[in-house]
Amino acid sequence: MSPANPRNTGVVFSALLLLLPAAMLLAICSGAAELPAGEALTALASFLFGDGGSQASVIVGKIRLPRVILAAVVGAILATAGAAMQGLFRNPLADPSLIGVTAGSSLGASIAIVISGSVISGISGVSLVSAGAFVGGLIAVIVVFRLATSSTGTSVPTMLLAGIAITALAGALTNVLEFYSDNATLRRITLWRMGGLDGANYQRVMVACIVGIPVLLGLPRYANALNALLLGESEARYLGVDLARVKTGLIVIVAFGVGASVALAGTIAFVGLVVPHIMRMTVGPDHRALLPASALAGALLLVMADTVARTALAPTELPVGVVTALIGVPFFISLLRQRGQYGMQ
Amino acid sequence: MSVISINNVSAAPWGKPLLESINFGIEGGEILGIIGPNGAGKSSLLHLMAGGVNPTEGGITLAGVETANWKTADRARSVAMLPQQSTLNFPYRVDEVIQLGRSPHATGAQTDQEILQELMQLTDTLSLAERLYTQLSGGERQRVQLARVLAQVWRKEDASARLLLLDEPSNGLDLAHQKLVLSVVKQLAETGCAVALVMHDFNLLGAMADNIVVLNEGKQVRLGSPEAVLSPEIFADVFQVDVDIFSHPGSGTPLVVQR
Repeated sequence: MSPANPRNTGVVFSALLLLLPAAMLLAICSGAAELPAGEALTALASFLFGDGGSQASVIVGKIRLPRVILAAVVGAILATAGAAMQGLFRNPLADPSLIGVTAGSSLGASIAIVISGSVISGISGVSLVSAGAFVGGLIAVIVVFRLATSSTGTSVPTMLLAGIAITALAGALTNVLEFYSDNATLRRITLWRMGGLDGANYQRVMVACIVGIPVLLGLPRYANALNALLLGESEARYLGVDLARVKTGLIVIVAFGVGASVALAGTIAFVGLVVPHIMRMTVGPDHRALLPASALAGALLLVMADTVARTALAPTELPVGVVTALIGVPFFISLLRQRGQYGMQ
Repeated sequence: MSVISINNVSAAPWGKPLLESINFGIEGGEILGIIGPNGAGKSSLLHLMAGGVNPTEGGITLAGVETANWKTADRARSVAMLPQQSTLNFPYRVDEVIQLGRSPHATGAQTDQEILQELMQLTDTLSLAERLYTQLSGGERQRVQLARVLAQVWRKEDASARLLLLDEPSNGLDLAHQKLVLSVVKQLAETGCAVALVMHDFNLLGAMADNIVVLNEGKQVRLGSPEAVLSPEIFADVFQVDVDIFSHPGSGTPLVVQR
């Protein structure tokens, strides 16, 4: 008989809204100094509202809290951007790196690391790397967008191919830089590329929020257009979608969001591909639910992954990108094996 | 006043001239059939009327206003188009797909829901409502897409101009469902909506169209009532086939039989 396909939107949102604060609290409790939940909350309250003088309150307030917030914001940006790109490209395999932003950011960051290695170091060096990553990502996207745009409009398939080409070019240039780097610089480039939230501080949290809030509020405004786009470009036009405006808007927002998150936390693969995919299997493809659900789930995944990255092999830290893959892949594969049930082809 | 009026229009999407000197109008409530051999420009003509292809010469007016002056969002409230092929690979539910047809309108959830229920009933998709589009057969998908475009122009108390464009709407449908969906299209036309449809089944078209336009190599060769247009000469000239034309014993509409 015809199976009903209930959308468990309410259940999924409730679960995410419970799990995210729980994961954040767990992240604040875990680390070199284990704190029970009650103590962590007291320390947090003391940091936020009191004198914040105790050792626990310094650990929680100055070290762990900014890192947890940064993880949540970056995870939310990556997952929402991934969901939007999958809708724009009408392809569940799309992810934010497709438009060249990640490779461009890597190249920009590598250039900055090479320069800062020889000229400056310390705090200004770190900000220079972030700025290099952000600018590199934006330049790559501008080139990709220009290549795909002609008098007849922006071609999404051409954008995909141009994105692959620019990604390859930026990758080759990064390799050239690595080839001519000394060992110390090479290691810094490699570690940066693996991604990590260990540089988290309130400056970075502020930058993440300044970029993240417009991205997370902006992308859902395109939900109806993305829904229509899944039917096809001409179908979307005949449903009243202004294609040129929607494509430009989406690319600009995604480029800023992903460029900033790469600048702040390095390249964290997988979140942008897998989270929207998993959410589509539970809340369905309607972007009005999919985009906010992806934001919450992306935040949850990255907060959990970062907690594991900090604590699994303490005192050594694992690159968070490695952990997102280790947590996400088995879960993802188990869903893929049941894909027929979710109507995916 | 015609809902849409095409005045001496030529079009060359992708730089290649595809349509030349097209001239006709469709009144509210009129059903216009478009016929012609493969590659004659039938689908391009529908896309031209829908606003996806721009004329290189001549002008098109929609409800008396030049189409260049229509905003995409406003046009979507008046014009709906069913393309020949739809590729939807994301697991929308059937009711969610049809609901997309209401997305240009701000009529409120209750009206949308009433229209949705009525159209699912009329297109026999009610039993599919909660199934996933990606798991349907070709004919079922066609009915769902039809219901979606019907929902876009399904207004009864509104007298403003409406135009429904259908590219081979009976594709993939069994006989009973062909009859069913075409009767829904007729029902919509009776409420004042103009309809243009491309079809290769001349007998179905002859029974439902008020007028037929014949295209060949991008040119308009003939325009008139089905009885006037469906003649052995036209079929010999345009389609290079010999046919006999009979009159249906019951309804009197033309019946085309290939020799």
